[in-house]
Amino acid sequence: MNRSLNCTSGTIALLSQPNVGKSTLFNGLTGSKQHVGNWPGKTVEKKEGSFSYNDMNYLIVDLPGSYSLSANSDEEIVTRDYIADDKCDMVCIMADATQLERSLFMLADYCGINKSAILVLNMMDVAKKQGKDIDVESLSNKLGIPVIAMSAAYKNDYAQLYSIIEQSLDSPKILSDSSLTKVYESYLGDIFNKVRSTFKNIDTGIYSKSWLTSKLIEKDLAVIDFVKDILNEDEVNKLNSFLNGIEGGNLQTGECKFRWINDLITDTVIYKSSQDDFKLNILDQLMTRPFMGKFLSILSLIIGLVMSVIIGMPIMTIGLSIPDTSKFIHSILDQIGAPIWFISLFADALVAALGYTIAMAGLVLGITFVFGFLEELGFMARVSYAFDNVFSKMGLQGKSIMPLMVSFGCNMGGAYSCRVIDTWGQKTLTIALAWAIPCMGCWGVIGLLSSIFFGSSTLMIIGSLFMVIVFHIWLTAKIFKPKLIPDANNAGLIMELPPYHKPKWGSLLRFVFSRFLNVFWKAFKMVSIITVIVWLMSGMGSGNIENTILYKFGKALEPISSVFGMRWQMFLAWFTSVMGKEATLGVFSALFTSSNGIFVTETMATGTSNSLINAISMSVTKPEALAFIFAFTFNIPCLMTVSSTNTEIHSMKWTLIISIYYVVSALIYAFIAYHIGMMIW
Amino acid sequence: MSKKLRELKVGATVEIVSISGSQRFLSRITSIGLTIGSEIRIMSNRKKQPILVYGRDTLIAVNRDESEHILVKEMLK
Repeated sequence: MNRSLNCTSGTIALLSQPNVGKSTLFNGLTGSKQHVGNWPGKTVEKKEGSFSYNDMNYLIVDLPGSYSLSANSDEEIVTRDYIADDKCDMVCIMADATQLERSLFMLADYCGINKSAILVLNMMDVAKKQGKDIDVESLSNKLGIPVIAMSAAYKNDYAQLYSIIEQSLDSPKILSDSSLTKVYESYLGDIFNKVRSTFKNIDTGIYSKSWLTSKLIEKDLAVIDFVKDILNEDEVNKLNSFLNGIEGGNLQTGECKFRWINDLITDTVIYKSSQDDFKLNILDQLMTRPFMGKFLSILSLIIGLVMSVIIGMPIMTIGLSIPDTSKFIHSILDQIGAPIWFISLFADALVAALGYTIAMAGLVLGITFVFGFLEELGFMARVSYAFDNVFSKMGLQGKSIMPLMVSFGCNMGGAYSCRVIDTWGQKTLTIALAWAIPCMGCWGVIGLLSSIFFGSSTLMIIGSLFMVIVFHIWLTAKIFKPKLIPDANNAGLIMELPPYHKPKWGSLLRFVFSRFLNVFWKAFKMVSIITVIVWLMSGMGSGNIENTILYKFGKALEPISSVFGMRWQMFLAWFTSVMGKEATLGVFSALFTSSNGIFVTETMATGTSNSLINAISMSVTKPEALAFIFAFTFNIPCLMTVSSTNTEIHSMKWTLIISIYYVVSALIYAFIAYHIGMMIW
Repeated sequence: MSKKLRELKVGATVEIVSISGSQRFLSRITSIGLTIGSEIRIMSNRKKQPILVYGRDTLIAVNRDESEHILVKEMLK
């Protein structure tokens, strides 16, 4: 990609409200030439891409979405700073032709920023079906910038967009703010004129005087700071005296912006058929019922999870069968005379890591596809609505139910599905909660250990574990909420339930596959490194566990780990469970039956033998088993989840905080469980 | 006479007469299309669930507690 970016003939920034189809347009323009990173110093995701047209290369920057250009969140601040810092040549503002009035608000909020712009009215196909037609030319004349009506989902519509982009870069057009200024003058009157006159002889740069005035009336903190820099002390004092008396400035300027939008629409939008009265469709009537909505949400999420596994199955099967080739690779390496340590490293450890990573990435592919589909459909917004009353107390959106449900299948998938959550704080808190949910691999081990040690009371053990999980989620929300979602940041649920949209298969599939490769590559790197470290510590395939660094490490820490009910075997099993909880049975068999397989594959290949069950039940006491179940459940889900968490929240610091928090919690729960167990048995 | 959103029946068409609350709340509610003077219709109003209103071609869900900040008056259809 970098090669094509070297000689860029223009940088275009995409700006719109949510649900307008910005990512569809972004994907449609850039195809696979995309790069995802971080905005410097912020936990906001930065998406860039490029495309060529007529032998010229263009860079596209996807500005983080929000409803307006006020400076209330990191996303909005990033967006505004980016435009103000003059880093792009042109801003492409998008609106939804089917919901023109509301979605043009972004244009109204932009109006007064003196930077070349074009307006894209998306979803024109649907608008036409509704009997709506837009006089694009007259709209363009009124605004003073190029306007195009299109459907970002249709390839054919792009030719015109390309040529408009090319023309606008050649001869930039700036959105005229004179008509909006007139609305401000007539509606806000005196105060508007007084404030604006402060800037009479001052160069206000990229912002027009009217734009600054309206933002000052809105008491926008970033703009207040900005004008302090360009005005002298007298002027600032004068300004403050004007602004002091204003209450609810947002409401007043907002009304002006919508008046301006109404004026625009009245003359340029033609309704061919009479507009039907809007009614809730049958699904929405059901989804808005308190019980039915929750029931249907959970049901769909469960079906979604099952579908994810089915879709991911072919890749998972390939992944899981890769370790079977281990013997074959062994023999080949043997024949060519490779050293034993190399054979062990390559044929046992790395092949296992590769298979495991492919299998997990396959599951994530299924999850990404199914839940991406539900999100595009508009269904997740309904789920959010249904669970609002449960989650809003924790400062979260109802959508947070989804990552929690997905985590029952796979915590890594859970972390990735947090993508649908709008703000960083809510996303991070949701992931922190979702880590507490035991995944399929985890349940397998819990079930096995419980049945070995607790027989008929297994249900009671699992029941109490479940209660502690619920308690832990509640506690985690309590601890992390003040840091992640301070009250000032907490606007409660005000959101749009977008009309149901037909999913755009092309862009969805592209997203799913790029996600798959990305997940696979990141996870493979991490798993390989850890596998090699554990391989080194476990004696490099030499066999006897008691000669290994791992054993010495476990033995050395035994005095401490015993406090938490874990002797060296259990402690090592707990320690290595971060490689992947499925791996733990393999580790058990290595530690208790001294077969030499410590790697993931062994479990999947051998399952649980009777000799393992006997060996464990002989050498571990009931309280120790209970302590281990708790330590194991609340441990970091797995390193791949850690890596996917970091990818989603873009914060190494918070990924570490959450990781340490879970390790510490796991030990505390183990300690309590161990001592309660000692009292019972 | 002004009323709170939660006091209204489904199907009522109302005009917003006042909105109060934090700067952030005002900014959000304005940008999603609810401003003083705008006409909205109540689409759903069930116990404990967010209130659903329809205005400016958009179906909008407002958290029940947040909806306390919005006062409306009924309009004759």
